[in-house]
Amino acid sequence: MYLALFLGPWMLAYALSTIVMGHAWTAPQALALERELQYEANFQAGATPREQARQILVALDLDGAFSVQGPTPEGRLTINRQDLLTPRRIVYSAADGHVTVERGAFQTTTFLNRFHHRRGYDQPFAADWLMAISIDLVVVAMVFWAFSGLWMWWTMKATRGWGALCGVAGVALFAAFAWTL
Amino acid sequence: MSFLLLTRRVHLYLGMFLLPWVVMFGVSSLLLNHTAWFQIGANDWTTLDERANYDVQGPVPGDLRAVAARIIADAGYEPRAGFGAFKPNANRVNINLPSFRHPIRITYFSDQHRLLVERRGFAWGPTLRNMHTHDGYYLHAPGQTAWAVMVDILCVAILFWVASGLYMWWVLPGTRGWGWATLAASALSFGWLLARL
Repeated sequence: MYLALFLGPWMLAYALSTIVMGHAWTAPQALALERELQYEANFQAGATPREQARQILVALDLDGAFSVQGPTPEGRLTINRQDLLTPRRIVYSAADGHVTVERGAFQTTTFLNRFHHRRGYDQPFAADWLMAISIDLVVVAMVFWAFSGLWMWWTMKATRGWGALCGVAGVALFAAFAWTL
Repeated sequence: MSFLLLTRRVHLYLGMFLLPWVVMFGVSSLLLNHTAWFQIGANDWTTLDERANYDVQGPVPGDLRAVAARIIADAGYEPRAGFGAFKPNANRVNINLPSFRHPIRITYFSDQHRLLVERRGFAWGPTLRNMHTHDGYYLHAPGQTAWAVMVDILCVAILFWVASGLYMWWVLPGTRGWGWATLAASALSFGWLLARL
């Protein structure tokens, strides 16, 4: 019960985001120009695009989880700063040192979508690791709830008949889907 | 039957019915959170058919779904379970015939006049991932829609379990203290993650 009380917000967010994604209700992310500036890059020789992007983000005081595209043949680097509430796109042009920072307005559907896809231990940031650990906790909790629920059902003799019927129907339907789809 | 008893029974029977989905989404979430651990079988594609000198005939080139449907028919398949099609570039059409266990991908290289049909072998990791990420509604096939409806039912059930769980906790006065402490810890942790991620 306490595990469920603790993980309630995660379960709510995953359920709502699954509905949003399943019905393609995610609105396109609208971006608005936040600032423009000149950045005098001083990248180390052999720096990868990811290292260059991280250096730019640190200089802009926007350090955190990101993905990077490029550089294009013209030397343009596009950085997607994966902030859950306010995502940003940063474009750096090596030719003239110009940087544009665009900020995404908060939209519930895109926020839920981003939350749902935030996972894994790939990003080197503490918050991302803690999120990934919380997902592992959700996984353990879901399996625990399933089997502790089975055990609690078994201890309540009055519910055995209907419970067995529901359980068998669920397993049969799931097996039919797994076999045919 | 009291409201509390009704809530408890619906909570339980819904859980019994949806238990396979709960376990599947739980285990597959572990795979998605640790992608590097579960790569076995992900790229185990076998070529079923490869045709040189193939050109798709008939449909208007701009109508991707019509073009894909013709390619699927030419390859000898009937997409009962629906299909997905996209064009990564001007010279290529990628078609997916979805299947949890044995998905088929058909690739048409228009500049090379070549058609390639491949099937993935069974492996637990990719199969569970397919179940987790399956977008049923857009495939326009009855079985796929039914799966998507079941996923919606699971989501509504989760919302119900959260609400009914809160209610069942509230009617147990002996657990209120630790319950409030847990809710506060949850709100702080979740809020911190939202602010920092």
